[in-house]
Amino acid sequence: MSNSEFKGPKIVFENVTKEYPNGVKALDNVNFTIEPGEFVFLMGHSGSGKSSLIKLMMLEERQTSGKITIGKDDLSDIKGGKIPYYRRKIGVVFQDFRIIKSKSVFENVSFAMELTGEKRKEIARKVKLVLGIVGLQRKINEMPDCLSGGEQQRIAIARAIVNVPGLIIADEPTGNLDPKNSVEIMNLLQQINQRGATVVIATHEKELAERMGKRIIMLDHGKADTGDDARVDNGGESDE
Amino acid sequence: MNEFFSRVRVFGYMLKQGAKNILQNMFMIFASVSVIFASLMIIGALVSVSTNMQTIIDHYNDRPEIRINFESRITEEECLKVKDMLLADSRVEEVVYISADENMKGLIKTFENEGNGDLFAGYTDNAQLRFVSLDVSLVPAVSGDEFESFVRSDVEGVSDVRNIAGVVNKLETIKVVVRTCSVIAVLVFGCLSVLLVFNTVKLTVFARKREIEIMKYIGATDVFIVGPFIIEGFFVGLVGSVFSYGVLKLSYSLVYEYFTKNTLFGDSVELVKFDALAGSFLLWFVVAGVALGISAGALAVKRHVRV
Repeated sequence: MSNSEFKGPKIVFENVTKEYPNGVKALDNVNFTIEPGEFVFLMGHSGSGKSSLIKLMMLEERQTSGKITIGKDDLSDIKGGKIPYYRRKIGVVFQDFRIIKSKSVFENVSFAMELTGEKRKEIARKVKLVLGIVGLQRKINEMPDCLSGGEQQRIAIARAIVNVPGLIIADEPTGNLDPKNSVEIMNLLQQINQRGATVVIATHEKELAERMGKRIIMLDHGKADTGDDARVDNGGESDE
Repeated sequence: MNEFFSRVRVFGYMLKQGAKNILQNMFMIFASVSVIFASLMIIGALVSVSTNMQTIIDHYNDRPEIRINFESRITEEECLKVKDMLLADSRVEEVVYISADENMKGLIKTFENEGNGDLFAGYTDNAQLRFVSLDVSLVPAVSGDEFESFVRSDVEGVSDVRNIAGVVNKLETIKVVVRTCSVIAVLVFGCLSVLLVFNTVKLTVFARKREIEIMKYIGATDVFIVGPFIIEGFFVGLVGSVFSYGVLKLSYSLVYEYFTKNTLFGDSVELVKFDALAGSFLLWFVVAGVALGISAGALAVKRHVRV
């Protein structure tokens, strides 16, 4: 993979509101723009709407009103059967890694390419490449249970980037890691961003975000660190 | 073209995962295959019986309804007098005389089927073994049982009366029972098979629920997720149906040989050869087995995984 191989999309939230069936308004008239190739933190306390925002971007939930555009895609236009194809264009990293325990490192990463019907040789080449990027090339045949938390998260990142998605979304990627591994994971995500991907990270770890020196979008009552960031008001109740 | 090959590779992956599911659940797979096997065997056996009964009924329907065998002391002349008497009876449509030579030929042929044709060597002229017969066809709506009673009581020198019409009526009744049982068997065993395959696939789905959720996040389509489970159901149906066909064919061959060689039945029971049944059986078994397997598999996945 070369620099600028990741073609990061522009993300636009226009007057987006998300209200759950139980009446909780997780997002209230949110407006912000994330430029292509930008690295952004979504921050806020528990229940501030970070996860809801992530879910909207992943099409796990639909906004109640407003418009979300990611690259050329208006998410409202993406219907049920097309959602899997949209999700292949984004790489997702979770707090709990979501690695398949019964598959080896290679299989966990290659799986993202198997479902697109990629050729065997190409799969082998790309998997080795991304494992090299995340520093796990020597563990290619290991099972996840033999790996540390940090290593498992690296597998997740490798899987997230193997199809060269333009957008990387990470929901509390360092939530289950120690400080040392947290820094390493963040550095890895920064490397991916430097290759052109738009990276959006939801986190509550303020020190880590501030250390990265990247743009922060604050959720709940508070302003953004960078002056032109959106401010999101929510109902103050938990959406998780 | 690239799209086509991509789809082929995806299908190959699903096949591999389906095979993995099967290997991981061998015990339950064996149980499911057994149920489909048993179901199709029972249904196949009932259909075989029903088909053969119809063939026997048709065989008897083609024959004269009453066969009168006379004692060996009755001469051809006396027999022909009885024939004339019967022809004058308004209940009788036709009477055919069977000579002693013809009866003897029939007897020898029956024993030849057992490989004992030479048993009668030297006895073909034995007066005790030679007898004449009359084949009587009745006018429609005439009771065979009543005519049989009449012959036994009013005709001199009768040693045996075979009332084919009475036999046919009994066979028709049995055939109706067998067909009803077949329908019930299809419904009951069909449901049982679907239920067991459903449970087998459900267990696999449950065990892999977490994996399925992850697959969805990464961009797996519904087909990709459901495919391996459908393949699992297909496999169960196919193996069960092919195995049951094989066993049915083997057991039918043994029964066929018994009936054709056994002199007890003579030429009164002529079974349908398995090859005549085989084509429809194999096709329907496979279709039924595979349909059961696939439907159960799809149902299990749909119910237990929101895809």
